[in-house]
Amino acid sequence: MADKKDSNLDYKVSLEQTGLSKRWPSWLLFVGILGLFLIIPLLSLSNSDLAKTLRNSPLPSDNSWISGELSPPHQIPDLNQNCDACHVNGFEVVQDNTCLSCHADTNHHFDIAQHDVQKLEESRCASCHFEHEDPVQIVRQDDQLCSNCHNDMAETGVATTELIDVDSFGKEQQGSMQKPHPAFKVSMLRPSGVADATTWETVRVALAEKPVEKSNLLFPHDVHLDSEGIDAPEGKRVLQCNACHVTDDAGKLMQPINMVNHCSDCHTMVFDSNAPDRVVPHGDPDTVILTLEEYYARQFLLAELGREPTSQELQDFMLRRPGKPVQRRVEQEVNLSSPWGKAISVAEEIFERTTCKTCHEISIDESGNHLSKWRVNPIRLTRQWMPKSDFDHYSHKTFDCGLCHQATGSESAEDVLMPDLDNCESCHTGSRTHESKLPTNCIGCHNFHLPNQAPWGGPTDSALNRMIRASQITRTDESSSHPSTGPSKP
Amino acid sequence: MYQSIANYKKARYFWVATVLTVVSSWAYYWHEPVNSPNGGTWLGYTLGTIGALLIVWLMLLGVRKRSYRSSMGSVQGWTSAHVYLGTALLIIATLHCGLQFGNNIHTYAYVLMVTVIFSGFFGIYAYIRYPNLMTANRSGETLEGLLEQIEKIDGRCVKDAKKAGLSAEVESAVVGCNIGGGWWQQLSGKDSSSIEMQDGSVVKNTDQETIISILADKLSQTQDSEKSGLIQNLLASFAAKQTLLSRIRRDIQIRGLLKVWLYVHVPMSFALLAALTVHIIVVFYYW
Repeated sequence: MADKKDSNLDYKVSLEQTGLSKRWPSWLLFVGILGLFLIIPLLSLSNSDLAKTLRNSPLPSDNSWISGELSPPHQIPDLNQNCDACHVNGFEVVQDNTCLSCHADTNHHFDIAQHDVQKLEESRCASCHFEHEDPVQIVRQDDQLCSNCHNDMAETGVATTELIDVDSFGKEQQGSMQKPHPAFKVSMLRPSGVADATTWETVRVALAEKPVEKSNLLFPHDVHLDSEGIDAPEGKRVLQCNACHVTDDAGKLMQPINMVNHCSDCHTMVFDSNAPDRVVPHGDPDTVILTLEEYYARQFLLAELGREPTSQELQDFMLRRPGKPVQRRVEQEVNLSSPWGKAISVAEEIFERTTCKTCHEISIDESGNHLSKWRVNPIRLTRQWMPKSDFDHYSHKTFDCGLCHQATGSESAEDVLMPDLDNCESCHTGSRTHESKLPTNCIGCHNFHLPNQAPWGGPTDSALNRMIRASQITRTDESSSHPSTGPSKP
Repeated sequence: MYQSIANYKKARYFWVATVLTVVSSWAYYWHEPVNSPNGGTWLGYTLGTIGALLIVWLMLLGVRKRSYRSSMGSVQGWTSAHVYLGTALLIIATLHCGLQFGNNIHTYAYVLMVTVIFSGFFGIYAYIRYPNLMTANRSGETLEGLLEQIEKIDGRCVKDAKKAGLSAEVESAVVGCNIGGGWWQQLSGKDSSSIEMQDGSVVKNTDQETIISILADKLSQTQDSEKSGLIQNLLASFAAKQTLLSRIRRDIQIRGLLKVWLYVHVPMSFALLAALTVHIIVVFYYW
């Protein structure tokens, strides 16, 4: 009984009497976590092989420090899970030169030879390009990316610029938008001089000023888009926009229009109704004259000889032709009984009234420097009307072209059929808005790194480069060979 | 105890925690980070700093509890603040990370923090619920008093059994009677009492039912009035013991539940402190 009484004292009636402890699990967890997740990974970084071994082992390595996935473009073997590829030195933010060691071709935002923008110099690659974020977003999407500088260019330090201050895009912004997106300007080609002396310059014109395109092309969109169709060799043909306007492989811009691919089906170059198979070549007017002379000389010899002349006979006849020196043939009398007179007569018809004149502006060159006095003013169509935006036709392909381009009513090729801001704003709005439209931020349309600017790590001696040198960048030969580019105007 | 913690100085720390939470939440709503909300924005760093300082301060409760001579506020005040600010920490740390989670030390630290906080919530629940149950169960007795009663009953049983010639069964039941035990036995309140039968086999004697059943059989078989009286005494003793044991086991269970969460709360707090240290060092190491 005495034993029993003693045994009662031994009853384990509280948790303290059991094997449970707070002290040793606390120590174990504290030391274990510090050791496994900090000390060992840190020590392994002293040796790259050791770090690699640890990363491939089941033990926690510095990979357990990765706060979020890399963006897909950076998920390459050299970078993925190889933290020190970018984080070169401990307790130091990722340096621009580390980014530039791969991205040396990345262009500047503006002409760094002209402007010295402190705000941009102070920002790093990683100020805009975030890694290890959830959701993954390597490129900043917010409007502040642009508006931080562009809402007050004078304060930004760009005193001389044609750029207009802008806060954001969209009509109804949260709060008050003092500086809305300006109406659009287009960059269009403008000729001066005529014919072979034509020179072209790119001018920026506001669409509100109703600009006129002087491309030297005569072309009515309304006739070609007639719902009844146009006269084609096989009869009536109804044209859609994409009969001529086809996007490039990237689906962004339209490919250039050319005579052979887009016009020649209907616009044949026949000059004699008796010979529907014979056409004058599309191109140099002198060649047109020669073609006509050769054709009518052959016709003349055919009547004279009663047979098809040989090549030699034709050549001899051409060389023996009477009258003025070759260069002055255009001044010959129009004598329809002579093959030369006939050729000139037909040339006058096609240059001044029919074939060529249908589409081309023709000027007369009396200098006598050419076989033909008729000169075709060269056509150059503006290829990229809005080079400051990055418009993508592909992403708008579900819409009718007429939603943006009022072509069916256009009677003249001088009409600029580009849509203005209002047109875009009928579907798009700013990124911070309550409007029931597609929220669109600045980089939805504009690029930061512009293709016609110097490489970010390029040789131009800008403040940025001075900064880069100061941070002891060792640039590769390849990256230093990039040429500097000229002024930023497109 | 709970009321004094909850309403300490008119729930001063409830309001401190509420203001902290509301201000943090408003800042989170108002803040427009360049990318998604995360610990790397200015608000992220601010909330992270507040959270880290809170964790360190919350852990200092363990130091304050042991510093009996400290003049830095009462333990009651500290505990009240510990409860409310610990709850606020859950919100602040969640806003700090911007709900970005992954398989990494940063999220492990968060998970450890949540474990610590929720084990603390269980502690609060225990302190609200169990003291009353414990008092009702003990009926004014102490555990030691109840155990002494058991000892007295055991002594009486052994004596009566000897006279009735049932020493083998009764002493086996007394020796095999289970009170308390390992942590799981304490918390589950399970009775693993056993009794050795005459044939040498050991069978369960849960709630003393086997010995009571044996004694009832013996009573029905005996003609001897003296022995019959002794057996009836034994039956009464074991019935009383049955009731006492039930209350003792419940008491042990409640005492265990009042403390068991601390065996999670405290070690996990140290695990959190380690993970937090790693988190802070590595986010600046790989900045």
